[in-house]
Amino acid sequence: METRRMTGAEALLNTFLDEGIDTIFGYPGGAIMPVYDKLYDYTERLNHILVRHEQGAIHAAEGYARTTGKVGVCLATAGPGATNFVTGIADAMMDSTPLVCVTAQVNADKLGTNFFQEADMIGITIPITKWSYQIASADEIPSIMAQAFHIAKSGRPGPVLVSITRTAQVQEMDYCYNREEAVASLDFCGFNKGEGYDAKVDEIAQLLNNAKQPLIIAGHGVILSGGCKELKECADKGNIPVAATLLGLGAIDQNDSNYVGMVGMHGNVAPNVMTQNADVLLAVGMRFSDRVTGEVRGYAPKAKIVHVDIDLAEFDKNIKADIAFQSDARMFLETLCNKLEYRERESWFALHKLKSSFEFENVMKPQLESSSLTMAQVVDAVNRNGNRRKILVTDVGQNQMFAARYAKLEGNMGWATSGGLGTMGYGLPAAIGAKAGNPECDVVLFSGDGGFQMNIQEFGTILQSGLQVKMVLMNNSYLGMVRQWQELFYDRRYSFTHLANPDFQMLAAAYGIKSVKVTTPGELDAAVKQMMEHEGPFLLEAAMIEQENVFPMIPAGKTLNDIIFD
Amino acid sequence: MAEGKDRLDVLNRISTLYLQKRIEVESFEFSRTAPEQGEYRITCWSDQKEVIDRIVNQMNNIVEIKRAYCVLA
Repeated sequence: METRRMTGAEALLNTFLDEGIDTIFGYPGGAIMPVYDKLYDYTERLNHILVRHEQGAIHAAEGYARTTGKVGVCLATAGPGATNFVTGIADAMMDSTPLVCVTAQVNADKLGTNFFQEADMIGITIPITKWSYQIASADEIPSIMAQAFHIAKSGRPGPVLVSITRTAQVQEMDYCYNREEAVASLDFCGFNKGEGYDAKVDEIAQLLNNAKQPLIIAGHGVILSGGCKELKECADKGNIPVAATLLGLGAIDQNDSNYVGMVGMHGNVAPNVMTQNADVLLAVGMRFSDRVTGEVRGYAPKAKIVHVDIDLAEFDKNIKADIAFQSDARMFLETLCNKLEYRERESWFALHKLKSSFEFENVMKPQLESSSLTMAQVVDAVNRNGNRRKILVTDVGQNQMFAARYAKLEGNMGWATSGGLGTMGYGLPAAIGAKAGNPECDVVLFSGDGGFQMNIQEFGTILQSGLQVKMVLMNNSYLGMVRQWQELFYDRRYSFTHLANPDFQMLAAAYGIKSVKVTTPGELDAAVKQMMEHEGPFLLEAAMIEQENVFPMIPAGKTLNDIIFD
Repeated sequence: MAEGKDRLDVLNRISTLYLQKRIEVESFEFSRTAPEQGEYRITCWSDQKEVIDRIVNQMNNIVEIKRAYCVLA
């Protein structure tokens, strides 16, 4: 293969181009200056989005990756720049988001001397990365970066950290990118059908065909594997109801007649009740998080549990499965579909209708028709407005749960939220990343006032990049979810959850962002319409009542039978 | 017994798995058996077989597990 003489810094940028990367998120600093110096000559080929804090860069890369299916790339300098990535790396690890995080490091000969801005990023990130590597010599750059991209996106995706010493950045080397050769030895990544694969799928299909009350729970793995079409085909062919986890929302169209709702702590009543009454539970690409199962000893007591996941480490971790089957979700669903047979399950689907109409009448309708402005109304208004494909991004807390419960993820709408780590502050930068990766879509952020202020400096990124993010701020002047728990489980002792907030309208104006504030349900539709039609970034602030709670709810430590409604 | 690349981060990642579960590793040997590859032998003690099974599953994401067995006390 042909080689080109260049510095390590330039080689790094070329590895991005060779991997088809066109957008990166970052923030410069001392130790990464050689890379930024070369980036000056690459701005035509690499769209670098300058954030205002490294945490913003990594959440933006997450939002980008989650909504494009590509690997997110972020850059930071050594020391504090690199350590500011840590929350995002942990978030990406929990939510299986493919990232390549490049952080600078001090000169190779100064390693271990407590040099200015030296932080051992390999040591810090080992438990929260899929792989990490410190590059000490420029020659290593092509092969290590090829491996980094391969590991990040293969098998169960996740974050990879590459710490690149200043020495490696400034050294000259002969650049040649041979991806195949570099990843040839990584045989433990990815998934191939092994011996007995079809026989095992036969066994699972048999179980489902014989089941009277089967339920499929679709997790993030279905979306990551590109198996949404196959999931629908399975549901249709076998006439099997499908529920989704928080990260699995969108795996099946929410208008689909087989879709029964979201499972879990703040999930819909029907799928939680159906979980407890199912005779076969097929969990695909999900990990039985505690937020999904509640108390595990009472979970799905009548069901034979079939757990299909690409990650062996997930089996029997939280829930003991009767059949644990390692597979890529799409591959499994495609194989399964051919073996499923249609069964009438009228009374089983009737249970769904009964429970969902109960939930609508008793929980959703009162919230949607309240005379005070509610979060449910805000999400519902976004459902009704806008003509382009929407991507919904949320922060964490009540805003996230209301969005998950009331948003209509129809067609091929995108969805990005911080599930496993529950990272407040994720939403705003993730929405920026989602918009950077999907300029043709309307990216709508739902955030609370707490999480919004955790990365509010990213208004500056919007100002500079011009990215047209639609931000819906549901402002109740409280850390709403914590306040809700204090009300329900801590005797209404509202300890440090009230927030004295700035004037968000003035703040938006200071960054050149058009905004509007609504306080009543009557103003909502016109404001949302204005936001969706505005050609530019927009902040819609909805002043909510302080006492609004997310129901139904399964209290921590309780089983799915213990749903509370007030 | 596991096979994997002879790299420091592999050794660190394996020991982190035991550290997270608070399991004492009694011995941890690495021997090179082929160029660029290596063989790891880890001995530990726990009275919870399922915890060890989980670690073995997690290790599969780092190196290829060739053999894992337990001896009943």
